[in-house]
Amino acid sequence: MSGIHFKDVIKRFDHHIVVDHLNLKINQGDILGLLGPNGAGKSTCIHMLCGLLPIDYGDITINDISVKQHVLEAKKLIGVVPQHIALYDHLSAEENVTFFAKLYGLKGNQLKENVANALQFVRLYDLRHEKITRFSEGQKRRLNIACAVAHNPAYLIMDEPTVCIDPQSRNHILESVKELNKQGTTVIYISHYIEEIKVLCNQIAILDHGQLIANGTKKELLSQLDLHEKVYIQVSSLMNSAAKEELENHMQVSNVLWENQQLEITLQSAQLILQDILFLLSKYEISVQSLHIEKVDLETLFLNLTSGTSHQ
Amino acid sequence: MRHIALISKNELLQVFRSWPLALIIFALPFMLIFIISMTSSVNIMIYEEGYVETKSTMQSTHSGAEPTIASTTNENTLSINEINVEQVTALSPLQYYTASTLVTCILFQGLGAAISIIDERKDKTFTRLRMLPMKTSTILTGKLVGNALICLIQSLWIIMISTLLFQVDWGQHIEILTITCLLTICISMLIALHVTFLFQSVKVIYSFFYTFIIVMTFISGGMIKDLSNQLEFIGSYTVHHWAFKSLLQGMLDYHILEAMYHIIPLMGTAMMLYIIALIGYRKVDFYK
Ligand SMILES: Nc1ncnc2c1ncn2[C@@H]1O[C@H](COP(=O)(O)OP(=O)(O)OP(=O)(O)O)[C@@H](O)[C@H]1O
Ligand SMILES: [Mg+2]
Repeated sequence: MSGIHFKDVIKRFDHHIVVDHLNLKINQGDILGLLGPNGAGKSTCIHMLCGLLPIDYGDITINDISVKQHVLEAKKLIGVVPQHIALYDHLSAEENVTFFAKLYGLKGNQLKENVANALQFVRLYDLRHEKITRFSEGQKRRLNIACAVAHNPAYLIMDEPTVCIDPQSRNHILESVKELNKQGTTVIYISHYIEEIKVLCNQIAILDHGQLIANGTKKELLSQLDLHEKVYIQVSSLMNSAAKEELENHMQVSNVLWENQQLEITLQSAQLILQDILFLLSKYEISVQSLHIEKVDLETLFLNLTSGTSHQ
Repeated sequence: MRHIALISKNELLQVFRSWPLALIIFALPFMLIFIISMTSSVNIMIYEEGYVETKSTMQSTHSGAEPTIASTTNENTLSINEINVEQVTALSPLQYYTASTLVTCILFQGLGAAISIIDERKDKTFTRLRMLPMKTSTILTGKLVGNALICLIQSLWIIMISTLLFQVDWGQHIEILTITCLLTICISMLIALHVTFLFQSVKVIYSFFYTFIIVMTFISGGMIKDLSNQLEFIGSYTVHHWAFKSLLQGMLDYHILEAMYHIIPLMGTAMMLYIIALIGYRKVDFYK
């Protein structure tokens, strides 16, 4: 069975559980977006996956190779973009990529070709001979990515790869990751930019306090959860209790807030009952000045699931 | 093997591409020897006594007594070639202090190795290397081999410069010189490894090495020749002492078997440090 499989994984740091019975499967060919607030345990999962940290309980398999038992074999299949920049200052951009690619066993023409491709991947080919001490933070971040892709890994793990990177290069990187994925690379993508996850990933997992609280395609996640949309209406009159009560009694409406001239209605789906609301308001001779519908998207979903909190 | 070679090569590049480090490695021993050569006229005064002793011992060996190791317990000032009694050479102060400089420089390169390991752990590149398909011990070995090579290059440099520019005679027995240098380099690297197992702060490591090496050089007589008896006694059980005396024996053209008296303790120390490193390695948490 190919793919990456977290099987009931537990990790503790001094009796403090950081990853809690994690069961997660990433199929070959997928791009998994891993979301979670700071300190949720995302990086810890990755560190266990690439053998940096021992797994306290359970196991992780990559293409059925157990990380616990055959860590070196398992590590050959992956490329990791670490969360922190990890490059050698005394080497040029090209030398950095070459060094890591060589450690993965690349040689000769293959090495040269892959290094050039990796540098093009992050748009640093023109700066390949520059010492990286002259690089900006964003350029270093891009090189950090290049060092992880040069050996064409079957599984690419990216831990917040696009922090500090300008929008042009970010788009380019996202496109390139998609391209890599088309060529068969499976990707685990950790990010706090929900937009990125939205455009890139076909599978999403949300981690909070080390527990997997949601997992599935974007559509599945949104439908699984009984989430509501919000309609904000700017009205002409102050609170009208009769109108408010009637609104609240509507089957689909779950909550109504009326402050000054601002009406906030929480409901299942605005599309279905917008007509009803407008009709009701006109019945009470309340005119609508402006109207805004807040759709449920990944961000609201994420904030909802993780209660919008971030750990220390 | 390939991994070790790549990492050690990277280590060499790291040092030789940074001019302050390269300067320290190449210029500092040169300057030390130069200063010594400038002040050696003063030292000769100290040595006159030794030289006289040399002469008297020479006479005593000539008068029938079997030349034994016991008759040369005062090796650093006495100078008798046991193999060829006819050929009597004395150690010049320049030889004495150059040998001491060589040992000190090798031991100090351990500081370089330790700092390099700690820096790498701080820079996150160590973590990145650990994500690659190789063992942590391979990474550490690679780094130590790299630093050992730097150390070897520096030793060759010291020997070359001192021979060519200051006419320091390192003796006929290249093997004593080679074995002593290699063993001292191993010990220096292993000490570096232990230090990084114990401490994570660059400052602490600096203080440790400075104190450790300066004290060791001092009590083994590498700074001031005549020390009090107690100090000399303690000093005769240090790495610096064994390496230093073994080098002096090489300079005095002793037979390698006699130099073994100092080389064997060096070997023992290296072995012991290696075994402790193997045990200690399992207890270190590299995830910090
Ligand atoms: N070496 C360590 N010792 C003790 N606790 C640790 C260690 N490393 C991480 N932790 C704890 O583990 C938890 C998870 O950390 P982790 O780095 O996995 O979070 P994360 O989800 O990657 O967060 P971020 O989004 O900030 O990168 C945190 O609460 C952190 O304090
Ligand atoms: Mg993280």
